[in-house]
Order: sequence, then structure tokens, then C-alpha cells
Amino acid sequence: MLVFLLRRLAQSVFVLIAMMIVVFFGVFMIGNPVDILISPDATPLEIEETMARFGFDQPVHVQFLKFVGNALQGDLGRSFVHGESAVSLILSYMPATLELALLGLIFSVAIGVPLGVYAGYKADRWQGRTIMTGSIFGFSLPNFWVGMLLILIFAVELRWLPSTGRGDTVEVLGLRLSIFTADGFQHMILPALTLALYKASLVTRLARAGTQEALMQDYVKFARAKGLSETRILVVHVLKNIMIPIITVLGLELGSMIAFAVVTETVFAWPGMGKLLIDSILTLDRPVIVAYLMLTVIIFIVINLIVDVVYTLLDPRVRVKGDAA
Amino acid sequence: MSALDQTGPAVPVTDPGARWRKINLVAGLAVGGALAVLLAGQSVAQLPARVILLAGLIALAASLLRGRARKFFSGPSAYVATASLLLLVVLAIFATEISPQNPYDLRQLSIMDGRMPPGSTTFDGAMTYHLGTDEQGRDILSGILYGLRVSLSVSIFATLAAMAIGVVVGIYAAWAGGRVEAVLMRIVDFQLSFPSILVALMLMAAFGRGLDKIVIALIIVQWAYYARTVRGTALSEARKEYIDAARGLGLPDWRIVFGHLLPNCIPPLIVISTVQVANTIVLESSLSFLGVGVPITQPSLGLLIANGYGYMLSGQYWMSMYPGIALLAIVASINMVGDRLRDTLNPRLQK
Repeated sequence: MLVFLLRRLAQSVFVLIAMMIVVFFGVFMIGNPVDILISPDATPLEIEETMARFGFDQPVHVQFLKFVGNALQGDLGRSFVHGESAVSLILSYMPATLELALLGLIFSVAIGVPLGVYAGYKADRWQGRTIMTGSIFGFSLPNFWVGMLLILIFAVELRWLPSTGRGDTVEVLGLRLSIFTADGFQHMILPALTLALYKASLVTRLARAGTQEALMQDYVKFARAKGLSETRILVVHVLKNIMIPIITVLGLELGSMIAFAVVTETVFAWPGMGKLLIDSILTLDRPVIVAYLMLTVIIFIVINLIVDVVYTLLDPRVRVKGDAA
Repeated sequence: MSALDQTGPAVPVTDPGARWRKINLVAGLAVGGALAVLLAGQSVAQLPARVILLAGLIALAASLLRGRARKFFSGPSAYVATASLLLLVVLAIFATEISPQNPYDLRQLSIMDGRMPPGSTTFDGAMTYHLGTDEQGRDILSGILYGLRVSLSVSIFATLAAMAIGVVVGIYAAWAGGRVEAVLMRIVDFQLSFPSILVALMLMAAFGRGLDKIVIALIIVQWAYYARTVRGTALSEARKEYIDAARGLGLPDWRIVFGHLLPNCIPPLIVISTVQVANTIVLESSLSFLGVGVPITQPSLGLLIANGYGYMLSGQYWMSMYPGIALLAIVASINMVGDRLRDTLNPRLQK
């Protein structure tokens, strides 16, 4: 187990270094940030001074070594646009994304589980088929298009919910959150629903498969023999047994929620990390792009590491395979 | 991987599907080549390339459904999906000839006609804007046809290229085995552990926007998926008797791999790649919507939607709603055709 863990850690560090090189040199190639930082009528002397201040006048490999040195100390540079440290900038945008992703997860369970259980219960009837066909749309509809449609219906036509922004926020444990204010929550509903739709179809499929399997088990037969109502069997007995795999999968999917949030946040002008990334790409704010990509890679590496370790603990077969490789 | 010495002239392998296999190969190459020409944008070869493209696509579809057409067309949804897909593809391929206006030829535009609702006409009544105009007076219908072409060609080309790379890597990994396989599959696993939109976003952040760049990004995002699938198929195929027989005949390795193993690893990919084209369209349009995809000179459906998005809150819905419907139509019809194909080609999966 220790060997497995060490090997995995070494792999992760290797991946991180590789990503650092790719990201830095990739981002280095795009545009010239000086054009954005300096007004067009600046004198050559001013341009030179600014270049020197940001270190652009040095050769690429020197810049890279400096970048690595700073990165090891947790400093990924200063935002050209905002003028503050890129890491702290991203961290200040992070709570907005996290609360959105979390509410999205909750919505996807609230939508997906009842639909999936019902589809599994009526698997061969038209109800079940309709739900399954509907879930294909959940998979194939582009995220931004769903968001747009929701805005058009609920914000423009019906005027029930606000379309953009975060609304009122409140400080909870040092984080600015919208979810605890009525206005903020209203602002969250549409983006969270958009984000939830894809996962909701995933949950629907999982719940349907689980229900179909559970309905054939002996404890369901026994519950039926006891004369329990079908509703009670589904809600109490079946639901309890199918939730574990669903929650596991959703836990793993939290990372991809953060990735998908980039699109949703842009549609709803939600001031989270994803919106920050897109704005930074459009304004060539290199340090923020690099910092965002590095942070996301770290998040994913950590998630994957945890998943691998947990799986190894749960399923000895994986361990044997991992040790043999 | 044992070194076999050639003991005699190779015995011709009789194969009823050989003719169709050749047609497929030619059609596939024609589609890829025509798309490459069109994407490169040489105006001289445009029309012939388009005709070749359409012919190639139809030949591929025909060989796919050979002998199975009855099963494929069971039920109205198959007809609807196939008809709408065919219509959209023809519209996209011949967008230049069909659309009432070239929305990117400034001489044909009138800024006075900007943001007109659907059904309005030009000042002199010469042309009707059936789906309205955008803020620069471009006809939305023409914009959709051109955008459909960009979306489709980018996605189909990227999918074909990714499939080619994935097949080569997957088969090589399965055939080579050992350390090569372990390293290749580790890379594949690593890439697949990230959501594709995130990888694509990273690449586009590094590359900057551009038609060639988004094609490369979409290829990089997808190849690993095919590599993993092909490796699995190749591993199980390589254990089958016909491979042993080919070895017994003394065929060289490259002939076994390209002549026998490869053709048998392709069929499972057909369904995947159909659905994957739809996913690629969605991914491409998302990136373009975010402003990191196709350049503004060649907008895809996603970019058209993004352009009109700013006006939607003021009630001018048509600028992004109609491109959105076109996107939905193409994605839904590809998915439905893919669904029918899966049921037709792999009955095992139906359950």
C-alpha cells in the first residue's frame, strides 16, 4: 500500500512538472501583453521600462526558471489587470464557483433520483422510455444553450428570476456567499439548474439501473410479501440501497462541475473562477491564466489520487494490479 | 511478437466484403481530403471538393447500411433523423450556393438593415430576411448556413483525424505490449481523467483562437478515447484464430496488423464516432461561445449564438435563438442516427 501510494505521488509530481512546462510555454506564446499594459502612445523608453518591470525583456528560459522558483513558494505571479497576486485573486473568486457547483450537485440529485427511480420502476412502459429519451437530451444539449433558454423563459419572458450576477452576498466563516441570502439564492437558481442538467441525466441513468437491479432482489420481494405499498418500497427500501453508488459518482464528478462551470458562469455573468479565466484569456492576463490552469490541475490530481487510494482500500483487486504494474 | 520468416507467396485471402472495404477506404480518404481542402480555404477547389465530400459521405453511409437498411429504418424516428441530417449536411455543404446572401462579403451588407426582426425586407424590397438580421445587417439565415458548415466541417475533420491517431496508437499499444503499452495507456488514462472541456479550454488558452487551432485542440481532446477503445478491441481480436492463421501463413507483422487486425477493430468505432461528432460539435460551439474557439471571420453556430446573446435580454431573441435551434437540430439528428446505428450494428447493446 505504501509503495502504491509513493508511486502514485511520484507520478503526480511528474505530471505537475509536465503541466507546468506545457502551460507556461503555451501561454507564453500567445499575444504580447505589453500591447495591453501600455497605452499606444507610450514612448519606447516607457515600453522598455514596463517590459523590465514585468521581466519580459529576459530570455524565455530565464523567465521560466524564475516562474518555477516563485511557484514553489506558492507565488504564481501578479495579475496584469487586477494588480494583485494571481493565486489570491483566484482564491477570492473560488467560493462563488464552489457554492454554485454544490447547489448544482444538490439539484442534480433532486431532479435525477426521482426521475431515475420512476424510470426504473416503469422500465418497459412509455413513462420509463420517455424519461430515458429525455435524458439523452440532457447529455447532448450544450450547456450554454440551456442557460440561454432558461434566461429567455424565466428572466426575459416571465420575469420570475434574475438573469445575471450574484445578488446579495453575506459573509460566512470569512467567505462571501450568496446561498444564504434570499436575493442571492434567487440569483443562483438558474445557473445551478443549468449546471445540474448534465449531471441530472447521469444520475437518472444511474438511478434507473440501480432501481431495476434492486427490484429483483429478495428484500423487495419480501417487502411486497409483507404487503407494503409500492411507494414505501421504492422510497424506503430501494432508495436507500441505490444512493451509495450515486453519491460516490457525484463526489467524483465535483471536479468536472468546476470545469463545466466555466461555460455556465460566462452565460450568467456569475463572478466565479471560470468567468475570471475567460476574462483573463480575453485580456491576455497571463499570470491569472497560468495560475488558474495550475490550480485546476492540482485539484484534479488530488481528486484522482483520493479516488485511486479509496478504490484501492475498497477493492483489493485494484491493489494487486497496481502492484504488479 | 515473434519474428516469422516468410515461407512462400502469401495465399490470397478471399473476403466478400473486400470490395466494400476498398470503397470505404476511398470514401473515407475522399471525405478527409475534401474537408482538409475546404478547411484550408482554397477557393479554386471549393465546388469540386464539396461534391466529392457529399459523394464520399453518401458512399460511407451506404456501405454502413448495406444489407441492414430495413433494420435501420424501423420506425418513423429513423426516417425523420436521417432526413433532417441529410438536409442539414446538404445545406451546410452548399451554403454558398443556397444562402440568399454572403454574410461575410461587406458589399452585400447594409448597416441600415441591422437588427431587423424576422420577416422584414431590405429597403428596396429585393430580399426578405426570413430570420431577421444581426447588428451589422447580416441575414441570420445565411449566417446559420455558413455557421453550420464551419461547425460540421471542423467537427467531422477533427473526429476523423482523432480516430486515425487513436486507432494507430491503440493498435500499436496492443500489438507491442509490455512497457510501451503501459506508458501509452498511462498517458491515455491521465488525459481521460480530465473533463474534455477543461483540456480543450487549456489548449485554446495556450494556442489562441483560430480554425486550425481549434481543430488541433479537438483532435488532442479526443484521440485518447479512441486509443483506449481500440486497444481493448485489438487485445481481444489478437487472440482470435484468424490472427493465428495469418501468422501460420507466414505473413509479416505489418500485413497482419493492417490487413487483418485493423479492419476488425474499426466496426465498434463507427457508432462511437457518429455520436462523437455530435459531442465535438457541442464542445466546439461551447468554446466558440466562450470566445476562444473559431475566429470571428468564420463564425460557427456557437459564435453566432454568442454574438446575438448580448441582444437577447432586450427582447431581440432571433439573433441567437435561431442559430441555437440549428445547433440543436444538428446535434439531435446526429444523436438519433447514432442511436439507430447502435441498435442496428451492435444488437447486443440494445438491452
